[in-house]
Formats: sequence, C-alpha cells, structure tokens
Amino acid sequence: MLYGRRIELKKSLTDPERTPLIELRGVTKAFGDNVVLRDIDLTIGTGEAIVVAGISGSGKSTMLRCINGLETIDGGSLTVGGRRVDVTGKELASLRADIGMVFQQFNLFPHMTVERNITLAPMKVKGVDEKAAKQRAKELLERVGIPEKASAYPADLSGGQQQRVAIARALAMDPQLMLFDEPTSALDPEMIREVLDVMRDLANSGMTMVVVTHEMGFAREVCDRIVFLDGGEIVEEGPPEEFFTAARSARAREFVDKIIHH
Amino acid sequence: MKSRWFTTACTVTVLALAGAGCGSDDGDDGGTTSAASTGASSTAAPAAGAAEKFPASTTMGKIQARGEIKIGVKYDVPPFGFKNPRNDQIEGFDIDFGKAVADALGVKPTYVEAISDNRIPFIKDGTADLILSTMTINAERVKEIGFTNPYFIAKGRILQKKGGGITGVDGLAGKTVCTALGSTYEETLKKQAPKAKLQLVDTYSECLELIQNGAVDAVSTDDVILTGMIIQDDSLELVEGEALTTEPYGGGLKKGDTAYTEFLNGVLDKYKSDGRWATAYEKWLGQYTGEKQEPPTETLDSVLAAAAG
Amino acid sequence: MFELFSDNSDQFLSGLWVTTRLVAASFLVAVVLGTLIAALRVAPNKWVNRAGGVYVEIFRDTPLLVLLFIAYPGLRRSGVEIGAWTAGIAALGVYTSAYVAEVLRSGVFAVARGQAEAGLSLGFTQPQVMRRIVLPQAARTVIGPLGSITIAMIKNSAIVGASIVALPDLLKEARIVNSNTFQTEESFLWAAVGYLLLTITVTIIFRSLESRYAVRR
Repeated sequence: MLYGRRIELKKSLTDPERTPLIELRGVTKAFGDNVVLRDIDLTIGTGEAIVVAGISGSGKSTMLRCINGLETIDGGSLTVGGRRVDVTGKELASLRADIGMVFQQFNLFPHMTVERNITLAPMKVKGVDEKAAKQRAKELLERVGIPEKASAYPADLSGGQQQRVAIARALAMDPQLMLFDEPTSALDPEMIREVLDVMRDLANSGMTMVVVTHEMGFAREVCDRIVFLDGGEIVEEGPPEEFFTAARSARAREFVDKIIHH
Repeated sequence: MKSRWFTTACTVTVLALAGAGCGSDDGDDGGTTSAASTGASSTAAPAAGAAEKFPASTTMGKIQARGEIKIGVKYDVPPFGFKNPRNDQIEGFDIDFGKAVADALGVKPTYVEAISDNRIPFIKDGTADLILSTMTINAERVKEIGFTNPYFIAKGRILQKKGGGITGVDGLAGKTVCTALGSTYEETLKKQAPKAKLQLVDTYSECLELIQNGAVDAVSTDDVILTGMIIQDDSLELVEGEALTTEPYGGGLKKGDTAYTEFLNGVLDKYKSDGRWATAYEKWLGQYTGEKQEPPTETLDSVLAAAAG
Repeated sequence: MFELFSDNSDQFLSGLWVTTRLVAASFLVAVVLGTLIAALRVAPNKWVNRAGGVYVEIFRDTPLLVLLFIAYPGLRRSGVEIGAWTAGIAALGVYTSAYVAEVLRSGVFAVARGQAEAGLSLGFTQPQVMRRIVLPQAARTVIGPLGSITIAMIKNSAIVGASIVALPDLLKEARIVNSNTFQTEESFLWAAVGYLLLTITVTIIFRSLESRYAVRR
C-alpha cells in the first residue's frame, strides 16, 4: 500500500535538478594491492533513496563507508552537502553528526539502556538538554514500534528490535542522510520485515538514504535508483523497474537472473 | 672396636684436660700444654697430613665418611668471612679456623653462606655441620644450639660517616641505625638506644650500602665487622666511646653433641697454642688496626656466666 | 601455636598494616600509570604506540628486585634523597603498571571495532569514543585480570620488605619474631595467614565488582 504512495509522491516531486547531496567524483580506494573502488562517479540527490547492489566483494560496503569517512578515499573527491569528507578530527566528527549510519551488527552500546543509547549523542555531541533528548527518544521509539523498551538493555532485545533501536539512535541526531550497511543480513528471517518496514517508512518521509542490501524486494519497491557495483565499478544504475526487467549490461542481467531464480 | 673406643676416650679426656688446663692456668700455659701434647702425642697430635680416624657413630666419623665438612660462614663480612672477588674464594678469619677443623678431620671444607638469621636453622636442619659466622654466644642461643669455647672476642661499636656528630650510644637517639636481622644487636640497641630507629636488613653489606648512600645515619655491630667496612670506605669512622657489648664468637653445632664439642674445643686449643691463631689475627685484623690481641682464654661457661652476671 | 601469635600480635599486626599500606599505595600508582601507558598503546600514532610498548617491555622484563635496587640505593647514590617508602611504592607500582597497561590494552582491543565505529558515526571524536563507549566496556572485561594482578602484587610486596628497601612488612616482622623465638614454622605460618587474609579479601572484592559490572551481550 505504502509503496504505491511512495512512487506517486516521487513522481510529483521529481525534479530533474534535484539538489545533489552526495557527490563522488573519480573516487578510488585500495586495501594494499587490492583495488576495491575504481573511478566511482555518483551523484545522490536530496530525498533520494538509493540501493547499492552487487555481489560480495564488489566494493559496495566500502563505498558506503567512504561516504561518512569510516574508510578514507585514495583518490578523487567525495563531498556531502558540499563538505569534503577527507577531513579529520572535530571537522570530521561534525560532518558525521549530520550523517546517520546503521550497521549490520547493530552495534548498540551494551552497557547503556535503550533510551540512553538514543539520547547519548544528541546530549553530548549536540548539547541537547536531557528532557528534550528523552522526549525525542520516546517519539522515535514509538515511530520504530517499540516504545515499551526504553529502559531495557540491548541484551534483552531480539535482533530485529535491536536494529530498530539502532535506526532510532541514528535518527535522534536529525541527520540529513542515512546510510545502511546490510541492515538485515544478520537477522533471522522473521525479523527482517519489521526492520524493512521502518526503513520503508523512512524513505517515504523523504529521508535521503543509501542502502547496501541483498533484499531485492525492498530495493524494487522502495528505492528511487539502484546502483549496481561489480569489481569496484558502477556497472549500471537506474530506476529499479528498469534494472530488474531490462538491465542494459550483461553482468547486471546475470545478477538479476540469479536473484529472481533464488 | 673396643680398643678404638678406649683410645678415643683417652684422647678426648686428655685434650679436655689440656684445654681446661690452658684456661685456668695462664702462667703455666706452655708447660701444661706441652705435657698434655707429649702424653697424648701418639694419638692427639696428628702427624702432618694424617688425621685421626673417628668412630663412624660420632659426628666426626660421619663427616669423615662424607669426606667433607659443611661450614656455614658469612660471605660478605670482611675480614671474618667474605668472597674475594679476585679469585672467587671464600676467605677470612673464620675460614682459616674452619680449615684447621677440616684438617684435623682430614676432610675438605665446603662453605655455605649463613646469614645471621639462617645460622641456627642451618645447624638444626643439618645444612651445616659447623657455623663459623661471627656468631655471638648468648643465653638464648645456647638453648637452641651448642657452642664451642669462644674463638674471638669482639666488641660492639657504632659506625658513622666522618663528621656525623654522634658521640656515644646516647647520640643515637632519633637517628636511624642499621644492623642485621637476627643478630644480637637488635636486642642490644633496643635496650641501650631505645630512642634510635632501627633498620633491620639481611646482611651487613646492605648496612654498608645504606650508610654510604645516606639512607641510615649509623651502623652498629661488632667492631671487627665495622673495621671491615672502614677498610672498604675510609669516609666512615668508629664512634668514640665505650663498647656497647662484648661479643664472644663461638662455633655453632648441634645441641648436646658432647663428643663433637670436645673435639672442636681441642682443635681450637691447638690452634691457639701453636700460633696459628696469632698468625690469622695479624693477617686479617692486626695489619689494619695496628692493634694486638691475645687469643681468648674464656670458656663457654665462663662467658655465659659473665653475661648473666 | 596461637600463643606465638598472641605474644607477638603487635609485630604481626604492625607488619600486616605496613603490607596493606604498601600494596594500596602501589596499586594506585600502578593503575594510574598503567592507564596512561595503555592510552599510549591504543593511540593510532605509531610512535606513541611504540613508546608505550617500550615501557611495557622494560618493566615486564626487569625483575622487581633489580628495580628496587635502582629505585633505592641506585637513586640515592645519584644524589636523589629518596626514602624507603617512596622507593618501595615507586618500584612496586611501576613494575605492576606494565602488567596493568597490557591488560587494559587487550581489554580495549577486545571491544569490537563496531562499537567504536558506531560512536564515530554518531559524531563523537576519537577521544570521546574512547571515553564514553570503548573504555567503559573495556573496563568491565578487565576486572578479572586486574584482580589477579593485585594478588600478584600482594605477593610481590614481600620482596620489597626482604630487599635492601627493608620496609617492616608482614614477612619482615615474621622473620624478627622467628629470630627472637626460634619458632620458625609457627612464625612463618602466621605470616602466611596474614597474606592469605589480604589475597582472599582482594578476591572477594574483585569478584563482586565483576558480577556487578559484567556486560551482558
């Protein structure tokens, strides 16, 4: 139901000159001798939901992690909102405060309650006062569907619940952009849906999102554009329908084939 | 067997008598001893190189069976017992007497380090057959082990850095004094200098280190040990004044071993009478202090009586 | 047996008190220094890292007795007016700090990298991530090993007393009692009881800390 609405909204907002938020120009990255990203050119506009697809080792996680500086680029340029990512120290921290990230392993802080996990950064990085932070945390927990878990510890939650808390935690910083690094790959199948629902909802609300995932159902229904990486290069990109039914490149078609027949 | 026993008994008795004779009859020293020696010369005075054989049941016999006598000595108290860094040998006044005992048994001496608080345990557990480790004879120790007659009389003194300003025992009030754990000076200093702060360490070499680097103000122990320190470092001096105590050194052995005690006292008497004592004294002490000393004439009993009185 | 203790209780208790003070003071020194060195060891800068590594190697590989000789007679001869207590605490504290540093370092590395990455992604700086996210978790894993190090330090404190630093600790007092009474087994048995009291107390404290702060995953 929601998906249809998303496409409608998108169509109405479609603006060929959508403001670019993330710009990669000629980005290269190698780990030692292993070249992982070759000459990546990519522009992501505000409000876009992008899915980055590809087989393991294609460089998709690395590219994602370059966007918030968890990996440094070797060549080329990468800017977010006009700000360069190859900075350090406080500058980098400040940039990262505007980018939310959700990890495959959730990475919730085990020694803090759920509420504290969510309020910590807003209070300590942005200086939000405790009352406001707790209020926001409450709202976010409601939004992701588990308001009753505020005083629980991460160890008490299921994987799906933990990941939803992780999303709430990232959202608490009011980022302009959300990055998802295989958010459902570590979840049991029955919990994947609840997380994808939250992500879908987020995309529909207009959040700029870059999602690395194997969940092609989600990709097909929710995102604006699929970026397909293979061997460190962007082999194909385009609207999901086109990608899944009429991909231009041979490698993309091969990939789609494998998925459909999975 | 029986005849051996008899001969030994005679020898020992004669030696004991001779020893007693020496002790009580200063003037007639030469006469008494020579008579005793002549009388027992066939068995008491060993021909050069040939030591008397003792029955296997006696301590002497057991030592002979082993072929070595284990003597506990100090390794770091010149000039009584110390390791000479040049030749790695253990040398000193105590060692020379130890050699005399070993020769009298015809065995070789083996030395073990006996620091002050090990001496009595070593005798009790058999690690050493004999302790010659600057050990003072006193009433408490006599309850635990046996002693030979005194082989040296030392005096308790105090050592300080030149210009240290301590005069006499009373001058120790408020100062730090170093001495060895397990030595008689613990008690002595507590009694005679109650206001002094005692620093107890394992060995006198540590006391020397501490006074040299200024960590303690004074060291108190036997004058001969202090002299050994002065020889090593002439920035130290003896504090003027009366001796704190008289310290008769005795050889330590297992309590109640009468035969062994008598044997050792016999060796000591010979050592004193034939001039070896005087030679050792000159070699280790006399040439440094410029003093002369006579070999001690006291016996174990007289020393204990004097201390009690 | 008990008479020996009651007759000499002043000495045994005074020695126990000295040992306790020595251990407590050295523990503080070891933890403070150990934390500083561990910070060096986890820093990203290669040279800072190496400096910490050198410190750890030196003090782990040098026998405590040697450190005591350097700290007390050694320094005094070089003109430093260091007292016996200061030297003893410094030597024992510095010696133990190398072990504390290593335990803290492994504790930090045991915290999954993802934790630090999550913290960084939220906009915390590296030092803030250390302080708020990594160290609190590391601290909880190192409680057990720290307990073992403290017990080792209690045992090592006996070396301080027996060395030229010669503080009048529990073992020293036992030796004095022994030299006065010649009751060797009893004297040292009571010393052992004293040390056991200390080590058991430390074990209990650390076990309860562990159970209180254990991180459930």
